[in-house]
Amino acid sequence: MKKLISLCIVFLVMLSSFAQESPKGRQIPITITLFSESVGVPNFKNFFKDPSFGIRVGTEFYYANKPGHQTLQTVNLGYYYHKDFQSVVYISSEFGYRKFIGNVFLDGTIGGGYLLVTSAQPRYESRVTDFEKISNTFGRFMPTLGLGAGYRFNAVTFFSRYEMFGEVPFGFKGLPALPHKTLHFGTRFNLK
Amino acid sequence: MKTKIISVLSIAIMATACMDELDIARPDPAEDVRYDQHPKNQLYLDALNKYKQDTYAPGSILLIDKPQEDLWIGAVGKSNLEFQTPARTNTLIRTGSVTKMFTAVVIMKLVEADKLTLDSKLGNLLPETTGNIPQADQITVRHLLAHLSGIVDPPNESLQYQSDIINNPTRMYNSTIDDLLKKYVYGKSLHFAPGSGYSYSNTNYWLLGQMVETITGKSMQKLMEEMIFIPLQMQQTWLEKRDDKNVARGYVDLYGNGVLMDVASWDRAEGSGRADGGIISTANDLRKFMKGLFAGQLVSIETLRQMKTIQLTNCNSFECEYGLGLEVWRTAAGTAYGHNGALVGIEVNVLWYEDNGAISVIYKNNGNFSDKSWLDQLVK
Repeated sequence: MKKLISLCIVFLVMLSSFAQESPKGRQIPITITLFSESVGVPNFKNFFKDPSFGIRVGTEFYYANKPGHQTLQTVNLGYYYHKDFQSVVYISSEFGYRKFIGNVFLDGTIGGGYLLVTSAQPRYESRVTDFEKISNTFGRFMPTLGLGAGYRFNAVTFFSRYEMFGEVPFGFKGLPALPHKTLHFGTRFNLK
Repeated sequence: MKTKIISVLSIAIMATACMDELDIARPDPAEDVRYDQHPKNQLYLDALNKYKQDTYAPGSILLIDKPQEDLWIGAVGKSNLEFQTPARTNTLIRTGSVTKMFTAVVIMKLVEADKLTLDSKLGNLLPETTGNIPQADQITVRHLLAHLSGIVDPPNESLQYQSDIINNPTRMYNSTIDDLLKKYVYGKSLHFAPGSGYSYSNTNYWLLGQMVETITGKSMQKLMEEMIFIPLQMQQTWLEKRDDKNVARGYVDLYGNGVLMDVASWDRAEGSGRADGGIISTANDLRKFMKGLFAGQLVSIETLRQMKTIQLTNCNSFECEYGLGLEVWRTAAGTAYGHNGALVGIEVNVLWYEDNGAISVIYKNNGNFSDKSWLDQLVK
């Protein structure tokens, strides 16, 4: 629980520091997405057949904010529940590039974060003489890679994103990371 | 306003950030038959304890049956960490691919009964495979038994199959062989032309199981009961899906950090009811099977000779030394026949040694691969 609270505090501090001055005053772009998570290689399988739902809130900071493109940094706090496997709270930050064609845009992001995993599988660790049960909550790093597309209305943007992330370190069958994929549907708006 | 919204969202996330652990039923203790009076009890027990320690397994079971001495079975550690249940000599265990020997025996008995031949074609026996599996009209029963078909092996080759077990073990548990074939096998290219190479594939035994049930109209469980379990008095062995709270649970160090996770639900999803890896048994029942098989009680000596013969004609490495449902092991105690079995959370190995007729069974409930060459000295 301490780790979880720390994660949220870090997120709040980062969020407030990303508030930006604009001609209309101090604003924070807020992103909210609902997503489906699944373990596996990059494809669209399981998103709809075995959906594991999640929610993510975040903000963006712009290194460059031009009419035709943006270079940005995101900060996100997310949560998902994967039945019989794990529930996860995570904080992540991604560097991204967004290209506008009229009001339509495409973007790509790469980044990393930290996952606080609560496993459905009980966990045990070797003690002096035998294995003993330990907490089923533990931390993991998460490299991320994402592609998105959306449409910008006057004050609100709607978009969809496909993201891959890994649980690192991982140690089964020589895989360096346990791959996850997420399909997001979300909106972004400015919070004054 | 900003702070309020963010705080509410954060609290909502924290409130929902919980995960119930999987329910694990309390097992009934297995019968504790002990072999403490055996003259080599300490020697064998020391070896077993070292194996358990070296492989970081919660529990391990060893059986040594040599013609010149009494049977010995030992069990150390735990079969169920949730309830700290001791592993016992009669603890029920998943056997994984050891099951392939049983399936092969059923096939060979049907061959002996002229219900099919080793040269019967997959496409003829299972017409639905024609057009879905390349060259199904050229793949024979022999190719399937000896892994010479070239058909893909989803459990070992497909990340999609492996992740599907994690994503929804209940769905995988309830999947029929037809479901698995359609999802992971049909439409995939062969690794090589049938008969021209060796590539271990669980799919071969999925198909053999379907074949047997189609030909006989009986379930594989029923056939194994009639042909193997009842004749050999294997009273603690079954194939079909059952409530399995007394079966030893499987564990694996999934994240490579020395922490074992209980993955019995994944083993149950993959290793229940199927002709490639579904048998649940005990060390002593596995001994009865090996003794009966190699004494000619199940199939004729000629059939047994065929089963022991390496089927790939140009095999030049130990990896392709496979007969009809039997692995060939070159050990310091001579040539041995049997099978290794592994699921995510367990590993088991069952061998019959040709030189002295000894039988070994070694089991552990950690799914990591292990060196078993130390057994050679014990069975010599």
